[in-house]
Amino acid sequence: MILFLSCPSFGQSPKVVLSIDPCRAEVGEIFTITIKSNVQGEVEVDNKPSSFVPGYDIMNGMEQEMDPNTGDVITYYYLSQTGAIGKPGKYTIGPAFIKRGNKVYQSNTVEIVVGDKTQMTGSEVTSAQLKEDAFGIIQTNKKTIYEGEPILVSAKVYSHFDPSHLAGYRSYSMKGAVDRQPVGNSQRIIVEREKFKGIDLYAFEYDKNIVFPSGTGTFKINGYAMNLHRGYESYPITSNQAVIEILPLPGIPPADFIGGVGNFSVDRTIDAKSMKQGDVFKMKIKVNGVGNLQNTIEPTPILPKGLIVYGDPVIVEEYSYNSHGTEGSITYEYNIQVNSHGDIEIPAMTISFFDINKKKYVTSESETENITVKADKSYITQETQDPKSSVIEELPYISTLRDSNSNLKENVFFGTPLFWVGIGSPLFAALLFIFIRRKRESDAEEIILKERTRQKDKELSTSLSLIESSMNSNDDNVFYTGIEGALIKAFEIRLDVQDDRILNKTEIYDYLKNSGQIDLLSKVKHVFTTTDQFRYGFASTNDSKQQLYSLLNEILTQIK
Amino acid sequence: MRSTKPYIALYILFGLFSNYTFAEVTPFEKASKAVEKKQYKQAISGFENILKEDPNNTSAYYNLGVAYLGKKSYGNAIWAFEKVLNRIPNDSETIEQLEYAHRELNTDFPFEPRLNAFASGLYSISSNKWSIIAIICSILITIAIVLFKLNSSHSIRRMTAVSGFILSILFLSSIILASSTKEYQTEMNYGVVTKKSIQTFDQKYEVSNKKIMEGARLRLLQKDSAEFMLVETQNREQFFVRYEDIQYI
Repeated sequence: MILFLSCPSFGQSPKVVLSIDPCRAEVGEIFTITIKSNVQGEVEVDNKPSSFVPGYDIMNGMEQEMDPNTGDVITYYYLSQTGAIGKPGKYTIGPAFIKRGNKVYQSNTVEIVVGDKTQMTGSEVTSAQLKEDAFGIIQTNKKTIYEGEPILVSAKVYSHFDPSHLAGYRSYSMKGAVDRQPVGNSQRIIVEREKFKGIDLYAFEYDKNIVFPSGTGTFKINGYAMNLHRGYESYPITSNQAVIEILPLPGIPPADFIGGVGNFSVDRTIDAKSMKQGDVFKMKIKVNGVGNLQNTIEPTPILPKGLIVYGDPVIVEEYSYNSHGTEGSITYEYNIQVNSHGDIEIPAMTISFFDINKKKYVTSESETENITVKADKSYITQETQDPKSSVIEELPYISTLRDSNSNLKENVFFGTPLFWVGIGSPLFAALLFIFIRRKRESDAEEIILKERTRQKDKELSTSLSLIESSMNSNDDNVFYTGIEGALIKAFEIRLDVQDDRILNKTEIYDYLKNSGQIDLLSKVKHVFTTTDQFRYGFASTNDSKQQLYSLLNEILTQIK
Repeated sequence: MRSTKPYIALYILFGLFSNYTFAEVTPFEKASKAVEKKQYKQAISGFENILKEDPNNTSAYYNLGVAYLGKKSYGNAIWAFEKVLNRIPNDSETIEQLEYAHRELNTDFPFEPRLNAFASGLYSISSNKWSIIAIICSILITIAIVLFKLNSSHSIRRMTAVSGFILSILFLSSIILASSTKEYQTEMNYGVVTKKSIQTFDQKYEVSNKKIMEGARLRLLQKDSAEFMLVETQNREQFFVRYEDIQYI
């Protein structure tokens, strides 16, 4: 790799730094080599492994940083290139050289450990899926993990044809706030021929991520979807879900457990060995390792009496993600104030983590340190502050932390059958009440009506008896009044006239006319006219009375 | 035969003391302690585990937001506090925390609540409470109808008719509010950007030159494809973004 950094730089002592990220990879996994320098020139990196395959991604640029000691602004130029190594082993890359004029500036060397490709296990495939043109599965490196342990997940696609590209990819998903980070060539497609269950297929791996599940129990990875293309032809693929079992960490963890699951170590350094009472020195605690490093908690500094932590630590996180999890270090830099004097031994710093291979808690410890502190009579030991109160003072919002208001049983009641029954029952009861009440009222009216009809029927039959008895007597007035009254009564019953009202002739005529009973109308008219004639002067015979009575009976039969 | 009563009494006494002395620290208390000790990663992990089991625990969301604030992860803090406002829209303390997080992020837009003061007051009453109010109204309407039908006194009939009318309006309003509160609390209509920035895409899913910064609240308009969804920013601009780039409220 020979490249040219073209930007000029002025006035700083030359510095060339070579770095690699991640420093642990598997065969074929993409990593990045970066050269950072404050001088420009031709760049060459020595000792690249023969199996190194350069990638397509090359980046260069510049950035400016302020020197904390001098306040000078330093311009750094950087160049980075991706690549992969095809054989497992431990490789030393570098140094990098920057040639400017006749001068050559040399960098440090870096090491990368390349392991065998991680064996992945796929989710279940049905015989129906095998018959499809293309199908997908979710691959994981483990089926059972410990709480906090990372897991490698990728999408694997098999097809009976050589795919050209894919589109509309929807990644596999996991419930909850799961930390997932892409690993290596996660978005690149390299199609290979592979035997799957005895069938020769095209296959490629896609979207490889290192996932940090939280909690214990069954962890479901929901399937992914994509459209696999062969030219213009599209084959939709939806994979099955994968299930991982997360075991809780066994037993009770040690007091210095930092929540780490993987392999970790601790180093401690101090920046001064001799000082005077009241001085402040810096102590760095560096947690190195691989696993769930980013989720580890701050270790508690172990200090003898007379040494107190002053303020908050400065935390520097230097890690990257690879197929083994998070690898790198987290450094906590504390300011320690010395209150006592004499030769003081600072005991070893210890951290505990859960080792997946040994399946037990392992403790790592640093070296002990000795410091010499000269007495200072003018120094007055300060009272140490209550750590909790200082935290609350620094972060006022913490004082508002809330107590649990667990709502495990809270379900949304609206829309449930119980809700609709609760709403509907009283209203239904109200409607039922109205209906029953109406029914009762109408029943009562009907009874009154029937009673009234019965009464009128009775009156009619009385009238008819009276007519019959008066027919043979000479009292014509009673006979004709009875005939007229009986006819009106009969129509009152027919037309359901209220008891207080008396129907008049015109109403009877109108009714018969409107109902089209012309024959009956003429008969009724005839009866009324005849009765009027005989009542007001015309003499009547028994025959005419008999005829009129017969006509009345005929009309009554017709009305009924 | 010796009496066993003193031993039973001692056993009970010991039992009481042992319960008191070795009272179990709940995961919630453990996570809260971690916040106080500034062990934010542990606290966040603890509250996330609690919320997996108990997704309605607003206090857990609130404390999770505080832990994220401590970790200076303001986008996530905004998301957690917005989750609290889903349940208690007029929670003034949460609104203050959101304003603080937005100030720290120095976002383009200051924090603006999703609901106005009147709506947030109504939505603070849970869907279940509105449902119970609706049922009570339904019972009272029935009583009013019965009284109206049974009484012939004109003044009582008028009084029951007016009460029935008012109760009917309250009844319908309660049902509407129960439904909309349920939707507000359970439907995912908004999302928050918790990454430093996210890429936006145009109609053809091509990368646009606009990025949405951490802490922005986005209204989800439509799920356009398996990979993208249409969102609207606070200043009414519409973009397509990737599903995985948003934390849903």
